[in-house]
Amino acid sequence: MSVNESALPLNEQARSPRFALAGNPNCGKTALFNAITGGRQKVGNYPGVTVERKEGFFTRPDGEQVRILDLPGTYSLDAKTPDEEISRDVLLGKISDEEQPDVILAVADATSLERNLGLILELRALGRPMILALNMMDLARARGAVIDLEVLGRELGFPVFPTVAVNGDGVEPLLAQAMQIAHAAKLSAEKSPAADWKNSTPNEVRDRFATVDAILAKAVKRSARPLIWSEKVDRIVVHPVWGSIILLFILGVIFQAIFSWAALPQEWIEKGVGALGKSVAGLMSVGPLRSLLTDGVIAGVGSVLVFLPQILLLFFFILLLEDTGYMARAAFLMDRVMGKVGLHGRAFIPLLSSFACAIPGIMATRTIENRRDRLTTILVAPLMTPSATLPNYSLLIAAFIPNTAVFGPVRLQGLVMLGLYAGGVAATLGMAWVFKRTLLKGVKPPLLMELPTYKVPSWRNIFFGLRDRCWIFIRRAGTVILAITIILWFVASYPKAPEGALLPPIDYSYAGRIGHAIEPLIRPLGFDWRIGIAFVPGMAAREVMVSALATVYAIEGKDEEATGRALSEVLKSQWSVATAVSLLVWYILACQCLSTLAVTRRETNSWRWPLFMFSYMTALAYVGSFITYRLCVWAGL
Amino acid sequence: MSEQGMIAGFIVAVATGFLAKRFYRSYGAPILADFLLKRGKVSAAMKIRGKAKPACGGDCGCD
Repeated sequence: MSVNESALPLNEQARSPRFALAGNPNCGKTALFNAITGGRQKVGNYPGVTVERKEGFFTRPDGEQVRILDLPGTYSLDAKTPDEEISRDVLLGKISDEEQPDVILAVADATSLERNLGLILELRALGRPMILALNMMDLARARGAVIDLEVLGRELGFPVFPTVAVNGDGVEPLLAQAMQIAHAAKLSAEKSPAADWKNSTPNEVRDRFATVDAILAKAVKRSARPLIWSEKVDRIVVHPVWGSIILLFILGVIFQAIFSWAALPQEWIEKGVGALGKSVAGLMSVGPLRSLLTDGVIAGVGSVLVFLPQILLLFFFILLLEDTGYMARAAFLMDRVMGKVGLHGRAFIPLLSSFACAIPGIMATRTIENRRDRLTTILVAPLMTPSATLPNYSLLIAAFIPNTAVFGPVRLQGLVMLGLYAGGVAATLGMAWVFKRTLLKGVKPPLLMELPTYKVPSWRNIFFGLRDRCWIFIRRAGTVILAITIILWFVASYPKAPEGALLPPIDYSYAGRIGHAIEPLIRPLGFDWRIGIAFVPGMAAREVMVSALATVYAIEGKDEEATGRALSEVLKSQWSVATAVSLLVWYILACQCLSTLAVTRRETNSWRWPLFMFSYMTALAYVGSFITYRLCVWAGL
Repeated sequence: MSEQGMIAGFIVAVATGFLAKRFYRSYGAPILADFLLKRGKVSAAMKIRGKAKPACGGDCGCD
């Protein structure tokens, strides 16, 4: 099976069969989608909403191309969240610009058929061509399940195929049958009228579950045994005390690894960037273009690229924890803490997403129905440390925190990084507590969540996830950060210093003047005008602070050697520890992101909330940095 | 102006244009589209809205 990565032309799409994968969350839909499309897919949003739309293409051996949609997981067509509404509306053909699928590829978890079959019966009631992939059959068999697929198919009224999506078993026969169904459906060319569908009445729900029981009684000779070991493990992993210790331990390992494992590739990139700067400087005569390339582009963008290995390691661990099923346990543990400060249980996913970027985190709050709970989550989401802050943290930690061993393999740099992330979480919970008791009072509803079974991670899923993150980071560095760095180079280089000037040339530039104008405001925090310069473009992207500082110090540096010196070394020789710690606290608390404010405006449909968010976070950061700086100075740092 | 100066100036101009376009599509276009929509100019609003990007420009992987 080969994969066509690009979107098919419109006339081609019109002829292509369309499949839609539908099923409960955690039943292996995405693994099946990856197995079918090879993971090469287009990810976007459905029009007008922020629900992710995943589409892929594949070509059959006979050359026929097929379009496949991975619908968001849902427990029922009686939708309660925007994700579930999208799944239902796509299947009903109610989404504009989205044709109704020709065949529904229903996916069910073979280890818990009684829960999955409810949705399957709802899908059957739509009257669309359908096929069922009974996924995770290996696990079901291992747990002693005996399912008569023929009887099950007969009872359901459509073919049932056993699959193990993570290794691609059973995918080929499933697709071959689905193609046959698609061709047969095309001949009849029937579409189910969307107007016919209505939410289920309580009686219908009861009848549906009675039908599930009747089908299971006929088709399942022996149910899958409950996972005794999994329950035993969960007794410890979700235990309030032991679970919290395990969570802290895992986070500690992650941050230690981010520093230790990334050191070598970072050194390679750093050396490569330094060598590139020197060779470009050696090839060109002194002039503005050479300065732009060496002090601006290479020093600026290169200083950000150095952090790619750390970003990838962070996402590697996040993907690994998600894939093994541990993340749901972490959510369960955190719900206890979140509940105490009044946060809605559904706030966990938006807050967790904010570790990657506050924007999808804020968008994900749409799953929270109560407006006050949703607003609280939106207002605190930017306090969760987004990955764009990682380069800033890493730079300052590498420059000012000695990499000494604290206890065995535990090193101080990793501990400080863990502390910074913990600081972000503490600030999030603290502010949520304040908002839920003042501005946005309300009662916290209970959270009902499913703990998926533990799984061996799919390295293919992790690889594709990392590849996407790598691309996003490089694209960001090569577009926004590059453009900002070029403009920053210009404003830091022009106008030139007058003849006989005593101060460094940068002091006479636009950037120098802006920096000096800002300096009185930030001086009490221990920041000088150079940091002030970095704050302004840093509003466009947090990690621009690193490239901005690199450019400013590269332009300011008079000696040729400064070109090849790592930024951390330059900062170490110019800043006090108190300044560095104060800046770290600033980055935990400040809203240094214009996009976050724009998204908040869009999600709240008002300028009041983004302005409030910016004001409270800036005030919090200012007070936090001020106190930190004074304490550090008092301690002689 | 030297040759190096002209090339550097051109690069700065391209970068400025790129950022200005991106800024408009991320922040300006959605506001302008809302403004037009409130005044009943639906087709103009839809045209502008169609060119708008998410505020992050898709860098965070959300588009």
